[in-house]
Amino acid sequence: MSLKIAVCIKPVPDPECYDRITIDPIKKTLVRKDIPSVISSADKHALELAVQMRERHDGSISVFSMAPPEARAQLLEALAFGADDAYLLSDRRVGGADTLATSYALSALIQHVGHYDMILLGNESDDGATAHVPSQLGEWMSLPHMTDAVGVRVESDSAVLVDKEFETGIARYRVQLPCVIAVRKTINDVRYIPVKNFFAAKRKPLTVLGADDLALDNAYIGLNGSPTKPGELITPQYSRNTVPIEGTDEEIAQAIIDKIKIYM
Amino acid sequence: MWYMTEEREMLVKMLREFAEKEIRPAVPEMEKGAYPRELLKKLGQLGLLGLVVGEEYGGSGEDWISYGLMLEEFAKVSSTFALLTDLSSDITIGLIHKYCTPEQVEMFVKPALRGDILLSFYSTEPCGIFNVSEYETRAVLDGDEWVINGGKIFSTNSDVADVNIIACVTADKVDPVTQEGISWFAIPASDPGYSVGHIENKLGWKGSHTGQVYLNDCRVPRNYQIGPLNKGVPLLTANLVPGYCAYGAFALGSMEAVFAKTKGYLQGRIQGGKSLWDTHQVIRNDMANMWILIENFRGAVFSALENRNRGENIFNQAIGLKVEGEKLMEHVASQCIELHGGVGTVYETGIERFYRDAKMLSVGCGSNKTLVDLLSYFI
Repeated sequence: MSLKIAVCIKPVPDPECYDRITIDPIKKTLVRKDIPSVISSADKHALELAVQMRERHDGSISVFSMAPPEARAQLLEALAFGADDAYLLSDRRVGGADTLATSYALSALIQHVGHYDMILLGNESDDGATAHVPSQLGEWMSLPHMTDAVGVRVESDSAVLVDKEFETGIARYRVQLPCVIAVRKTINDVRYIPVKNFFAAKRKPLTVLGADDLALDNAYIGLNGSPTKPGELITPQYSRNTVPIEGTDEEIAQAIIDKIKIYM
Repeated sequence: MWYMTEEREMLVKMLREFAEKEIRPAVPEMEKGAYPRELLKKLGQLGLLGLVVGEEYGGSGEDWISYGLMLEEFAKVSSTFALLTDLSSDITIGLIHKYCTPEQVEMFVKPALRGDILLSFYSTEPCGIFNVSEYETRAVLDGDEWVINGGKIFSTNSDVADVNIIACVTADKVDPVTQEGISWFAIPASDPGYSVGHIENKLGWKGSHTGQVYLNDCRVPRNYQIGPLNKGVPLLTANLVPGYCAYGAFALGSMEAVFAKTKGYLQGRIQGGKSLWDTHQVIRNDMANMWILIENFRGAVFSALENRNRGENIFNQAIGLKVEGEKLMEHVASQCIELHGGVGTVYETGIERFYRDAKMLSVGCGSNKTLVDLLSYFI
């Protein structure tokens, strides 16, 4: 069975540069100037899954992202990884979006391009880590959706078997196609990209679209479409107040227990 | 940087990830002398061993700047591994592939590019690497086989390679002026006449095995002779010397690594409530002066690599890069050890091995003193 697979990727600040990131105290957003971006790590595992499924079943892989224009670099990387084409929604009108507005825009982008058997993405991003987008995407697109996937296998033309990991174990679900599946990083090992792919990536189609190219409802995009508002920013104060505890070993141990109980 | 493109940015990202995840954990074992064969095989599977080998030979058909970037990134983690990468790609495959017949490309080049077999390439005898007229290892044609007798020293990869590309005398006498009389042969390690002697316990490049090789009536098929008969020296000088620009790339990477580590240390080492970086102008001056040297050297390295991309003759430039690269790497590593204080001399700090590896550049693959003398004839 040939599969048309969509993979959503999110460019996030490079973890190597976390010590340089600051937060705008007024907008309460990350100041990302001069901070390089990388593909969110769980999304790379989604890409790896997509490539593995195409190797087993034939088909195609399209990559989607909603991000600033600089995200072209991450989409090129996804093309080098093995995607066949890439689509970037980049527009100030969709900027500042929370997860609901992001998932709405992504769903519009995917549906604008075509129909897909499977939409894969990472369970949660390295920066926001809300894990909202996969389920929201499924709801916007009226598709079955599964999160925390640690195994995916095609059962038939109409269904896949998904192993979902819980805190206490793994449950296997039969999910009808088309569907949205969010993967955990433990699902696979991400391959290194062969050299020749880097130099062939630019020959693959990479399309950048604006909000006007899609039939987007302004009420659901950008800041307008974001019911989640950042709260107050507080910098925790770290200081230590040293209080010597004296007495016998038993008295000292009891004093420590009493202190701990205060915070329980 | 002027030489970075979107493709090379992606390549460097992958190389960095590979270096941190795969090479770094292997460093302690390499420092004890372990040869990282499986890692080199992975490079082959990724197409990295054939970056500068044409696609018609099974390579990736890319360019010298990409090659230099690879060695630079690997050398940031391990100068030894960068050397072994160079030995498994340009110094072996890169040297011979254009001289190979189609049959030899299938037998040796393509399997080596994939990482399925490991090649070695050596010629040094007790008389030296460039004194070819005094070589004693000889190949004599006996029917359809070459019979080879002799020995080599400082033969790198001699105990790990599957196939050894070795220089032998094939004329009655090697002409001291034209240097005709030398030919190259592929000698499988499995040949009963091939044996490895003592492996040297060297100051640096510990994971690279260098030792003596004995060739006692090695017999190889006629078609294992590579390149034009008796005209093997240009293979050495025309390709090996320009390849020294790669040494420049890995000297650069090593310097960058020790510099970055030292800067981080100086900015984090607190004495009296302030960092050494903030309180000692001398330290900042030392670092600024090293930065100047490193960045100027970067320009020289990538300029030579771009010239090589354009097909220009970089013979002189390449010698300069090896010679200067060693001096700078030794200087930077030495300074960085001192700036760390006592911990700089401790193995676990991760600086001292770059100092030891720097010295190897002064003699590895051609003594710098000989090369400077050679250069003096061409400037």
